[in-house]
Amino acid sequence: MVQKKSTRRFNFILFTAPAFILYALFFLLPFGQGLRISFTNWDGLTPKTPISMDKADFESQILAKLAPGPDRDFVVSLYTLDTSERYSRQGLSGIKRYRLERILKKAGYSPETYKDVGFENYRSIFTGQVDARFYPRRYEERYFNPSSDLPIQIEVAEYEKHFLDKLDQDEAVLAAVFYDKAGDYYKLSPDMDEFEAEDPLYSLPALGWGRLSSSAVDDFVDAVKKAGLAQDEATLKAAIATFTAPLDEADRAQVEMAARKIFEIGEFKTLLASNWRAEKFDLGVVGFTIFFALGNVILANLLAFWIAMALDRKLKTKNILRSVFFLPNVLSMIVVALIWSFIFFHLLPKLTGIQTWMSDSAKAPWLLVMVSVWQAAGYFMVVYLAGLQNIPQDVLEAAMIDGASPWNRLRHITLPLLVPAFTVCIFLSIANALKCFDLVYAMVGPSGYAVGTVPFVMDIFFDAFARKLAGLATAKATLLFIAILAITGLQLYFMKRKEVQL
Amino acid sequence: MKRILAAVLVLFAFAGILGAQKLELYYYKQENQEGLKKLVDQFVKENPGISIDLLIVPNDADATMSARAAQGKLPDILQMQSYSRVAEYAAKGYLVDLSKQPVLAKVVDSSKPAVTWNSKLWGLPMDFAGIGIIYNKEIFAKYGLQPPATYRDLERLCRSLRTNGVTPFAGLLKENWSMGHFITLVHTNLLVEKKISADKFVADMNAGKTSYGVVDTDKLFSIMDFYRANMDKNAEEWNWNEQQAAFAEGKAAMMVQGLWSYGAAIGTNPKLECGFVPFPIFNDSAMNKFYADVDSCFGVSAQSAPDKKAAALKFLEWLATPQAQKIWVEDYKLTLSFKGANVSKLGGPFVDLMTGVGKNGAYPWAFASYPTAVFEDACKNGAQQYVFNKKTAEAVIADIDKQWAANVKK
Repeated sequence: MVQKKSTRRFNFILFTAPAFILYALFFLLPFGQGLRISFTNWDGLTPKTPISMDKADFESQILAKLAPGPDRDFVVSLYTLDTSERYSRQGLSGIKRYRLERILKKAGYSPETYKDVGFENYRSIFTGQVDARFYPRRYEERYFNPSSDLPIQIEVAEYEKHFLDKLDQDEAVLAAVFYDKAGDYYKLSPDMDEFEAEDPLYSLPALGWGRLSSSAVDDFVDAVKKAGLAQDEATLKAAIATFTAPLDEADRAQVEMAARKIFEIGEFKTLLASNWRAEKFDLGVVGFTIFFALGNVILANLLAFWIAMALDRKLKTKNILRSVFFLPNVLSMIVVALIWSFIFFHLLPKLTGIQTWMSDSAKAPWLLVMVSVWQAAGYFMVVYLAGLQNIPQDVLEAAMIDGASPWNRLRHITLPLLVPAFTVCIFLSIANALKCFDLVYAMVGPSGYAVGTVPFVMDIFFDAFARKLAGLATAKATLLFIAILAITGLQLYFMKRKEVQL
Repeated sequence: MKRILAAVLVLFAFAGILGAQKLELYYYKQENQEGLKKLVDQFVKENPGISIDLLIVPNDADATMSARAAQGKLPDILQMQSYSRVAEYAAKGYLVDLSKQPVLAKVVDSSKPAVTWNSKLWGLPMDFAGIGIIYNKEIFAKYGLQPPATYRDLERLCRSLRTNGVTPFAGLLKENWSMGHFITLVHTNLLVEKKISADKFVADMNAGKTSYGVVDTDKLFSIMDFYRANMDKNAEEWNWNEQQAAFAEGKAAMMVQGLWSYGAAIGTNPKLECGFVPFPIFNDSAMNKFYADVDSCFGVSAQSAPDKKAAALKFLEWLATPQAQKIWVEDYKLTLSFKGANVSKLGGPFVDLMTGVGKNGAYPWAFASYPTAVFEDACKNGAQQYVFNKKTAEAVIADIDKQWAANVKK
């Protein structure tokens, strides 16, 4: 169809041009600005041009460097000197702001925390210079700190797996003195309770008479504990000798007994601290993001496809079921997070007896994938259902008459014809999962780093606003953008080639 | 005639609206929003030429603030945390210098360092807050227990509570800020033992002359372990709501919190009888003081138009009037930094705080003077990761040192 020239121009002005302008204004421009920030060390707060500045600084750093002329007049017109001897300007926008930035840049003004650093941000990301929590890594979990009190009880599985099994015979004998199995726990023997052992020291009669200060007792207990951890007899004896010098005979014996006990406990504490550890693997920000994306793409699509196949039959309840499965997608992510937080905190512990869910770093990544799949699957189901209903019945019937088995019909007719639906769904799930923020923020936000479930975007958020590294954050965002573009681009390219036309 | 009169009246009314200065007041202390609204309504009633829009950003407040600052659209009046946050915004030129404002003369001198940067004052210090142990008087009375004066007392107390089947501390481990407060509380206390003042410590850290591990770190982490060991077994799953509920319902006898959470607890259970004591770190009771300081202050944005600035200053000025102070204390339920302020209406724990601080003094909120990124990340996340066994004690200290150095260098 040939359009009249005037119609074409009309269409251009009415539809195409506004689209281009909006695209430039709301995508290209911010993107360019972001890209520029990613090459600076901006802290997210420093203004590019000063908002208010001491008179002397302003005159020496800015006014002195501007030659008389329209530029200088412009700057002078913006800043006013107030009563407290400071030059300040109001908030600016648009061209005025841009012009001021340009003038001051030419004058050589650049704030310490808004400087060009070239590729430094990118280099530090690729050379492992940014925070260790960003990268996947091995680390050691230590469950006991020798300067702390012995735990009153330790779960059986935990105690045996991470401690008891590592001990040789002598050490196991020592351990048996301290912890006894009682039900689900190994319990600390009351005889070996350090607090009880210390107590006689804090109830020495000399304390009441004022011959001894409580801080002297503190220092003594400290010294004995340190000697105990190091199993250093000589220091112990010396400490006892100095401490007991001003005491009565009876008190001396009491002190000596208590100190010996603490010393003995010290030996076991060292043993517990050096063995009760475990090698663990932390996915890091990058690892978790990949894990989350893979989990989402695979599980959400499988589940959605499976539900779609099930609901494509002639069921009486199919409309209700479709609505039920689609419903989670209507909810906002924050509501989803609240619902599931409630389930994980209140419901599941009561039903299963397992107490820790979201705070367990072994479970949390899986639970997050699960919730996100639950939320996303309904939407993909709708796409697959639409795809399934587009498959002509006559082809399937013809295959059936030819005697093709259900599997063969699925494999050679349904799946190939569904490839466009797969393309769309996989594209959406990759992009959404890599960009995930709200769900994780609402479910584990303030404990993300402790549980090890910080997705890429949340890390960017922390960098920009908590760690004051807006430049680095923007560099990370740019890399994420490139990664999403590359991955979805490849995926579209390969899947488009698989699509068949009837 | 009547019509003309009506028209004139309408015109005047419009002129009034058009002429009104519309200010935006940003605040992050969300515990008592109605109270603040009352305060603002009263001000607007007395000053018809000014209207104030309230903008609350409860979580990650600073993220929003810095984003708006970067856009050049900072609200006219800002509620800020004291020390570093004020210094940060003042240093970047976002704040109006308030040194010469008459209202600052009405503020007690001890609260001025909280808003000082470069020997000028950049904010109006408002509420004085303390972090310590809030305890349930009923539970203590039931088991014949006394509030702890020494660390030893606290250990004994926790034991008897546990033998009676009461959880000693309502924990809050799911949100990192609570452990962040706790590690710095213990750390600031332990500095006293080493005879280092908090100011000197921060200055030395800024100069790269000392380490966060300058204190007895064994003690630091053993107190953290002790604190964790006396929470519910499942405290890693607890957030603010769970903590407040457990304390208000009497499932746990104590919580280590600022008094802001007293308001929340009392909201759930109005019959709750609470007391407030310092978290004791030492066995010498004279050394145990409240961890208390100026929490929030108001600043005025330097980006605002001159007439808006004037209106904002008028508001700050008005805050010192008796009727404003009354609403602040009775409805917003916070203490005040004005000379001769009457805070007796606030209830038991606040009186405990004020008398405790009046008698023994207080330890300053050193964390408020740390570079903000260090407190937000290395302290908060570090302490939380330690409790989750994700980080060793040495690594926590090393990361704080590293991040501190990086932030000072900038």
